[in-house]
Amino acid sequence: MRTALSLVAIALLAGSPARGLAQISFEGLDLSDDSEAPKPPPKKLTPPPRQPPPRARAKPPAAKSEQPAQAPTLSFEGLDVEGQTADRQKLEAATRLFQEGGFEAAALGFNEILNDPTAVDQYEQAEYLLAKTLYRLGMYHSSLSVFKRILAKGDDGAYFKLSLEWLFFIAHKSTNQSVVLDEIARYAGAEFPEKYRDEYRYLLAKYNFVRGKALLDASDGQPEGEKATYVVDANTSFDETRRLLAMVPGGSRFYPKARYLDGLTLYIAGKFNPSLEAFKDVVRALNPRTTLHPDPELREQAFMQLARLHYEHGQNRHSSFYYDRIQRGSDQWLQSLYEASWAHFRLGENEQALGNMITLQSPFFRDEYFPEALVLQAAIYYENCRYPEANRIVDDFRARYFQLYLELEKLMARSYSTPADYYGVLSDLQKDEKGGETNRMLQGILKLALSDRELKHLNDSILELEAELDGIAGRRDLFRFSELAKSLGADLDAQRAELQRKAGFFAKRKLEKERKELASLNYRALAIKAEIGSREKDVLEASLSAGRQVSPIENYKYSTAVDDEHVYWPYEGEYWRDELGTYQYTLTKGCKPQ
Amino acid sequence: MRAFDKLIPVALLAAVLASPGFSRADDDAAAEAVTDAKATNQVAPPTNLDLDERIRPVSGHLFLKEGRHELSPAVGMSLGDPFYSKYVLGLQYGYHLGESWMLGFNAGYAFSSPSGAVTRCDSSGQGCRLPTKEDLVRAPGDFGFLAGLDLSWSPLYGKISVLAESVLHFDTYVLVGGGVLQTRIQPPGGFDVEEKMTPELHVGIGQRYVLSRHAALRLEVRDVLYRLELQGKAGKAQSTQNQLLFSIGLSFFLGQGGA
Amino acid sequence: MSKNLVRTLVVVSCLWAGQASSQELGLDLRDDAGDEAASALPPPVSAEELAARRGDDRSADVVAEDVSLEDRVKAVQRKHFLKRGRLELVPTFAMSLNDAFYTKVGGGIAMNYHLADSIALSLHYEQFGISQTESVRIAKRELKSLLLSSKLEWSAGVDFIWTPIYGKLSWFNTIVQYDLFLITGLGAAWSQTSGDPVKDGAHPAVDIGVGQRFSLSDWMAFEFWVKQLLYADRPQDRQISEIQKVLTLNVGLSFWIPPSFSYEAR
Repeated sequence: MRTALSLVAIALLAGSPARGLAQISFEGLDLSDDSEAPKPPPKKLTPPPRQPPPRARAKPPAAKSEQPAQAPTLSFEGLDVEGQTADRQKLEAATRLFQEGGFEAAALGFNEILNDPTAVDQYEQAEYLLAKTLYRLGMYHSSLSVFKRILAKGDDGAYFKLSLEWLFFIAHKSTNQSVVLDEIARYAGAEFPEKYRDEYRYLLAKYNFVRGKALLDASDGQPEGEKATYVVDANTSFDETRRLLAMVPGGSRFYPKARYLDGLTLYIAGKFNPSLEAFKDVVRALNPRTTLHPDPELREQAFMQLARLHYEHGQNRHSSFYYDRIQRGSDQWLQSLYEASWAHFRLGENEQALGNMITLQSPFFRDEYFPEALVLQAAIYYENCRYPEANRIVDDFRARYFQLYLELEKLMARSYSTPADYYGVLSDLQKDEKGGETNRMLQGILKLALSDRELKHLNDSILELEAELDGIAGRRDLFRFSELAKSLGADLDAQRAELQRKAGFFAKRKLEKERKELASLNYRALAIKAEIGSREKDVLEASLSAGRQVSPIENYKYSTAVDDEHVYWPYEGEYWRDELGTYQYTLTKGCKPQ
Repeated sequence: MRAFDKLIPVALLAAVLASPGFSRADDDAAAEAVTDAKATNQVAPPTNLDLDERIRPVSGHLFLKEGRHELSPAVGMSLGDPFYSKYVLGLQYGYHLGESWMLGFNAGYAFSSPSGAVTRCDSSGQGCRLPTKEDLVRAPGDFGFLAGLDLSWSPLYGKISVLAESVLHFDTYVLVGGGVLQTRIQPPGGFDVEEKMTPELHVGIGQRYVLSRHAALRLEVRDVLYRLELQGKAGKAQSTQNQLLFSIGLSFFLGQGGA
Repeated sequence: MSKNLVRTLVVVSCLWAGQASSQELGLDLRDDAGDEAASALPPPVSAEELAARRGDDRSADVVAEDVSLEDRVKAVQRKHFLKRGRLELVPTFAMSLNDAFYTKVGGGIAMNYHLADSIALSLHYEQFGISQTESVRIAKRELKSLLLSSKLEWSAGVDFIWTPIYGKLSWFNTIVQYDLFLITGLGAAWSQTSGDPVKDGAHPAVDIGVGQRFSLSDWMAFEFWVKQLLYADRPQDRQISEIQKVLTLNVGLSFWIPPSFSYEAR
């Protein structure tokens, strides 16, 4: 009867307002959008190989009759159609270097023109060519700065449209698309090339979504009157997001992404069924058998969101169905195992819920961060009156995570003057590869912090910027000690400082959030422990009054039979790689009615 | 004239458009667009946990061999023998250098008797009977003592699901080695049966079925190759003999090894 | 009773809130004032401290029986290959193992229909050629005798295949799953005495064997099995028949129709 009541309690909770607690995650909203084209990880960026000495630089100016070359938008004033001006010849020489692949020398040449007060007429073309040359040198952030300068001059500039196009190329090359997103949003009114229109709409929608979400987050701490303004602003952004997404047609490569983002936007608006349909559309559009643009990661993200939505609405069977769609070994797999455990727990499928824990706690995934999995495990044992095990698990939880909590406390207690300092701590951890238990724990904090996607992308961008800076140091002396290198270095430093400031803000937010989470989890774990203590006391009292040992647990019925499509492998402590994720833990004794 | 004035910039623009500098600028963006489209259309391998790279197929083996001694008494029998059937009592010892490699020594004694594979009949096909050992003195396949060294490699580790609730672990090994064999045969032209120690080479394949941390059932088939002088079509001739031996042994594992 | 209900509610509700908050960047609609309150104080370092904070003095030192050793852990793994409702065509190569004088080498085809994943019916046919070994010459010379042997030409029959055992192997960095099957059935064997001049006709035959199947893809598998064929024959036209035991090793690549399968169970 008692356990029946426990079940009733669970059922009641399942039907309680707690159901409204959001389960969906915005993890899938990948600001870097780097899922399609493979890119080298930022850490691996190395200085480009040294280039052959520029041959063309020594060449005499081209003969008049050979070189009528000019940009189409050049002012006709000062254009010597008979011959060429000296600065024009300089531009020609640098252009030839560019064409021959002598990018370092070409960049220096274009920069020289830009610094020549007499060559004002050539500035526009030289600047555009400099930006392209830096792109060719793999210095995408430097190139972006120069393109930004060109764009800032307005859409009547000769290279405005072309520069917009190059923004997309840079977006596809860099690890974090968000560095380009602001620029794209800034020129939202401009006419984008047809082939990039869907991407542009999608990116702009994403920009609006991020803005809306940030406003919504920020509204939390505001006084009532201000809060309403924030929310209205946020909703305007979400409306704009949906308007832009609606313009991405069904056959477009960006359609699945657009639908996914639409699903998230609908979810925020509380339109759960349309949100569900949006995620289903993503799954359908990315069916590996029919799609022209496969994106397995996005498909899995959609499955995860579908599972979470169903879970949130108490449809655990459906939720579990979608969690099962996640490919074994994929990025989402461990998360899906963990989340599916909750669905199984609600369904009373403790065997499966505990089985997933075996995978999550196997030595291979020891560094993965699922502190709450232990709490769930303890609860299942508790529910089955398996108090010693529940106690042990709580102790294990505390042994593992209380220390981490203390480290986080220590970290958060330090007084940092700027948000960038928080990032500085993480950055130092990242570069410190020494072993040791404390260090391992701190590395855990780093991993935890980087599990925040936004922070991770910012971190990747910073690493990419640093690699670009290192790349400059690795170039030929002529380039390395040039004025151009100095100004690019200063520019990159400024970009890095700005990104570090942002990253610091996210790092602080994330670490603070995790600290609170751990404190709260710790509290919950101890609540379970306290409840166990009192239950054990009840059992003892019952034994004393009965004059004999009273045990609340009895044998459970269980079967080793499996259906025709499965094979049963008893687990005896030996891990077979292909069995990870398929474990089931059968409690043979407990106090729940069978 | 006005029209002409307007034409000048147009003509200049056309010239500029045709010039290498401009076409390069456009071409470059166009070429990059093609490269970019290719890259973005490429399906990137999904990032994953690299299970196959990070995790060995089997971890936490229940049965470890490295650094342990294996002592294995065995009984065996000959397979597909045309003239003699042999039953062998033997003992193998091995030291496991690692989980896969073992260096060992084997010794055994074979008890042979005429096999039932052939029947002796008269020329009309009547009066058939099994041949005696005396009938077979000049036939190959009779031997007694055998001993040699083994080097074995076990690249396969497996398990089978037995009656749902239990599982049987095994490893499979191949071995190669050499030694001596005490042959018994009446040489061509001779009158007595001669016993001689003959060098042999052997290859084999076997499986160990794990019974406990200290014991395993070992099944093995080995092919013993040795040279023998026989009566050929035109006098004496050296002939290579293949002797297939099947054995079942009970292996005892001594020592803790790396476990 | 109601006290227990309340306790359970407390524990489970703690968990509930925990699950919700675990979602990274999740839209969090819950009122987390409780959490704020909890995290404002340093978390208790022990259950006793928590109990003290709650004004609860119950101790937690009653040790109950530990029964976890009796729990069962299993991996319930999907079969890598499903056979149910599929037809399998197996061209095979066969070689005798137990005839030291006349090695039989041949090939054939088997057609197996899998009624269930573990049960199949098979129709098979094998044709053999005979290869004489060096031992024939020695035997003839040393024993000065005829060698009586049944010269098997072909065999065919109906078999029942049962796959009761599944296994897997780790081989370098891969894991291979396989089936272990048993075969038995009835059929006919045609030997030298079946046709002219003896005209005994086909000999009734029985076979029994064991084999392994390794799937290579959804539509192809590699199989090998050892089969003992038993039939009665009278070599060299002798009066008395003898039971002939032909042990063959069969190796084949099997092709499956339909070429794919789908799982139905969850």
